[in-house]
Amino acid sequence: MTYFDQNTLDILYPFIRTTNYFITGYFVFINIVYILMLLIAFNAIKKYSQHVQSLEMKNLFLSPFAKPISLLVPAYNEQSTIVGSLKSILQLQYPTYEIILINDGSSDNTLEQVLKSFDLVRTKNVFRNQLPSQDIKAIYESTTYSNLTVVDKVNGGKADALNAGINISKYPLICSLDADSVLEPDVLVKIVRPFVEDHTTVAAGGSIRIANGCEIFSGRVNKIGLPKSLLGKFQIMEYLRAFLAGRMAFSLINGLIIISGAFGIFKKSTVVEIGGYRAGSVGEDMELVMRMHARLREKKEPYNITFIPDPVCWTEAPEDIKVLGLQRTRWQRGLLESLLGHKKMLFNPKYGIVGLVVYPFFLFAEGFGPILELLGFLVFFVSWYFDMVAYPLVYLFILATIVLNILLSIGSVIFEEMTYQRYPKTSMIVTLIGLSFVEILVYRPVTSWYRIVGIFQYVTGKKGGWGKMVRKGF
Amino acid sequence: MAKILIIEDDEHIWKLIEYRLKKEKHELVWACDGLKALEILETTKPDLIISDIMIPYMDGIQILKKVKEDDNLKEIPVIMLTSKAQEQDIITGLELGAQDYMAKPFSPSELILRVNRVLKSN
Amino acid sequence: MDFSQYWEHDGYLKIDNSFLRFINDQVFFSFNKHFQEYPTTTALIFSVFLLIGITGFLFLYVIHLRLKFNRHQKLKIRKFAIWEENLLPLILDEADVTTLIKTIKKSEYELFGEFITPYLKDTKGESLSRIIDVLREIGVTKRELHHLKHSNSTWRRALAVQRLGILKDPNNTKDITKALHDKNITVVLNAAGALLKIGDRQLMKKVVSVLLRNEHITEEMFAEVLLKFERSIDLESLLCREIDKYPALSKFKIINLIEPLIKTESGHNLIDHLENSKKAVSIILEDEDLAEELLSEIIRQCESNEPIDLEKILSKKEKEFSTSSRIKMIDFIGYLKRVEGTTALINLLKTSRNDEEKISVIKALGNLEAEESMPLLIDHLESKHPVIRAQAAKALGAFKDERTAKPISRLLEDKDWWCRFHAASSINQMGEVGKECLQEFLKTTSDPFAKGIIVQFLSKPQ
Repeated sequence: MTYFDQNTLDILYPFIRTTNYFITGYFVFINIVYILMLLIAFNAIKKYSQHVQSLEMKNLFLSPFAKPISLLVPAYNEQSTIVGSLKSILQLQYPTYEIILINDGSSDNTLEQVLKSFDLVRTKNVFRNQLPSQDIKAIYESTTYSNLTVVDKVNGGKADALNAGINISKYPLICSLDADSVLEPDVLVKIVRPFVEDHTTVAAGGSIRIANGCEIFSGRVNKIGLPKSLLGKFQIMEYLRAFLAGRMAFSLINGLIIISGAFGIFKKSTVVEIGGYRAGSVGEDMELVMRMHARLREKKEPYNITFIPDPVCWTEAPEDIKVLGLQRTRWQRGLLESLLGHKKMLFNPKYGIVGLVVYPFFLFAEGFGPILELLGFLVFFVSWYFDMVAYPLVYLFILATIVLNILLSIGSVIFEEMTYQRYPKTSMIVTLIGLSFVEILVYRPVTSWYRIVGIFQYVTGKKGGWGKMVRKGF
Repeated sequence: MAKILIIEDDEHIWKLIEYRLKKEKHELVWACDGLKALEILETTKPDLIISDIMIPYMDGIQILKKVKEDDNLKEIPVIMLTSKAQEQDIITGLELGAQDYMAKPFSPSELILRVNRVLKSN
Repeated sequence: MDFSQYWEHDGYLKIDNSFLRFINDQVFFSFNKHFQEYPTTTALIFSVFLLIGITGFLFLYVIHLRLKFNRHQKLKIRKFAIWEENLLPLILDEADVTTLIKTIKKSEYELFGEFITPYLKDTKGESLSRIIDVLREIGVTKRELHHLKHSNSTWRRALAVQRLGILKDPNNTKDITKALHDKNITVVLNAAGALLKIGDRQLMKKVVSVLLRNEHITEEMFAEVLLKFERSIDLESLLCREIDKYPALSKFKIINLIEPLIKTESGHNLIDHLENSKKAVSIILEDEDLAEELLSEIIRQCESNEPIDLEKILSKKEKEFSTSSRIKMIDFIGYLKRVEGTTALINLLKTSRNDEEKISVIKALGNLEAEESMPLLIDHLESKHPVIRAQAAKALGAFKDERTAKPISRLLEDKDWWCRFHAASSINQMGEVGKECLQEFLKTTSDPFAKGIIVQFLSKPQ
């Protein structure tokens, strides 16, 4: 070994040792939190399913007293799927709801397709300009379906389209949907329950599932299956963990800060009060919920943001690694943007549990976690180069990671079994659990990498692609 | 002895009806949803249709409309089967030309009476 | 392998034998040694293996759940077929109960409940009572009653009372009525639902009074429960001149319901009957009201054929019920179009200081289409509260009275969007006169918002 190398080593060694301790500490801490969340979620889901069992759900909320809901469906270049999705949305079971399709300046035939299929006529409706949005070109109403309205507006992004939809909506509850998701027919009945049982509820979300591999007929999921590709299967497990364990646990402590844009329902007055969706934001769904927490905590108003573990909506996940990459970088940017836009909440007791627990957790685990993971890899390679690796410890570490990952996956599968029995074959469950053996070594580094790209883009202020998916159509 | 098409998604109701009407020596055909029903109607012409209103893919009212618009089928009497929550549907159904209706919960003997009456009057 | 060689005659372990020594040396001692030498590493290895153990256990648990479920499914299919075979003749032609009971094992009660529920829901009369007999015979009813009375877990109580509701056994009413005073809302709601399903009219009073007093029950929940009762009323019997027995249908609804039936069925006497049943219809008041002494008052009034004094009742309520309870009632009076309520509602609107209450009174008056409330509603067009103004305009629209066009049109230039919207919509509903009024206003106004909303309505195809 040369003198130079020796010198470098002397400098490197303490550095590497500290990082190692740090990373191990992070690892232990994160996993303890995850396991805690699993236990909390276990209780919450058990309570929820008992509650639902003891309620007579089927006959509930079909009276004219049920709160009417405005469904907002922003669409941008969705010509292949839009008619089918609207038809399925029109079949939902609920006494009073309206559908507002917002064509956000599509460059394809989205609008024409819709105009043709639903007998739309142009109206001269004026609306309430409560929130700023891009200009509205025209409003159409359907002559066959009295509850369908179509808005044609100048392109302004999803948040902007939703704001325009809120301006036009008539009802006190608004529900944002992705144009391409498949909804459960009784989703509105399920999701409105928190609002009826507790008038302080301002927002509610539900569990989102992956539709790839499922058999879809006439806008309904008929038969549940697994996607063929490995990438799709990995994402199923990921969604199960995130929705059943993660969000359920946060919801129980009233610290839910993400409600997926694919399906979320909000009290309109609160949304308007905080100024609607933030136009131009990447993660408009999370940003809105963060702002709700901030505002309502500041006003010291009692409020409730809840999550129901029932699957509400099925969405097509990307099975192409590039599209997945774009999606994940966008998510990461959205996450950082929403979190760092509310820096004042960090460790601020004024914001209660959100400021003290949830916010820091998301910032460190979700926001900067990927950086620590990258650092870990770097340190490993450096120490490997200089032959400083304590191999048994490394093996042990990898083993522990895998085992914990499986533990969390199995936990989520148990929730699934406890409540819904959604995956009909035992072999599917075994496949999913089996995949968690390799997930952490194969899939996780990939997503982490894209998340780092996302962080990088956020820091440099660069705008990446929108990750528009190439739809296969159902 | 008549051929009766029953459009009903609840299996137990179909079983109840089937058990009872088989005794009367009627021939029964079952369609569990709207699309199936139309499929069956394309090939066979029953003497009576008993249709639930809340069924998947196409509701009973839509099927009733289809039947009454079709020259070939419009003579077939239809008995609607509804739950209490759908008073408006009963009215629409009768307006559209359904011969009779039955509200759930129903008693099977009542069903027989109605079926026989409708069959006799035609 | 013969393990006996490792045991001494007196049952003590032979410490010096090879097998134990092996375990001792290789496992405990080496663990000990390692632990002393490298405490952290050994502890880590130990915890990782512990984790693996837990994970493995959980994995087996998942598989166990899955297999259990599959077994359950198979059992279900098999049992349902057997039960169906026995149940159908029982329901339809009074077969012997014992053959069915013999096929139900004690461990299968839950499953049998699952099987029987749809039949309970969709049958009535003789067939239903035969099913109830079976359930009573095998002791399901008794078990649920026991849970309702003694279970500590709220959800089990709620479930029990829900099931008792499905059972529709009138013998259980006493216990279910007690459950109305449970601390848990779900239990209370389910108990109310169960009582309504059993369908005893006397109990209605009790149920509604309890629901109204419970602050935790929102208006929507209240409505849901009551409407369930309405659903369980048999439309059929209306044709059999039994309207009197079904109070929750208002006169309006009855007429609406029967009108088309008259065309097809032979219901000639119905119209006369409706006239006579005013009294019966009035009994509905019991639903909204509910302190015992008030009830007896109403019943007295009903019996002596006096007009019902809703005013008095509502004024009493003011002291007795909180605003939220009153709003619940007002909403319901409006929904059911209880015309008797008009005077009371008008007085309430005059005296009320609560905006929420005013809003719901205005809504109700609009539903009732109570002409006598017109001047008062016109006054409220000037209210400071934008929702009150908007709702007043909307309620006035229901009357379709041309005289109101002028006062409403002032709201077309209101600051609040909903006021403009409802004003335009109400005037538009008045037909030709309304259209003219709007057109005239369009010419004179300089307000762009007013213009916009008028154009929207005028351009709508009728």
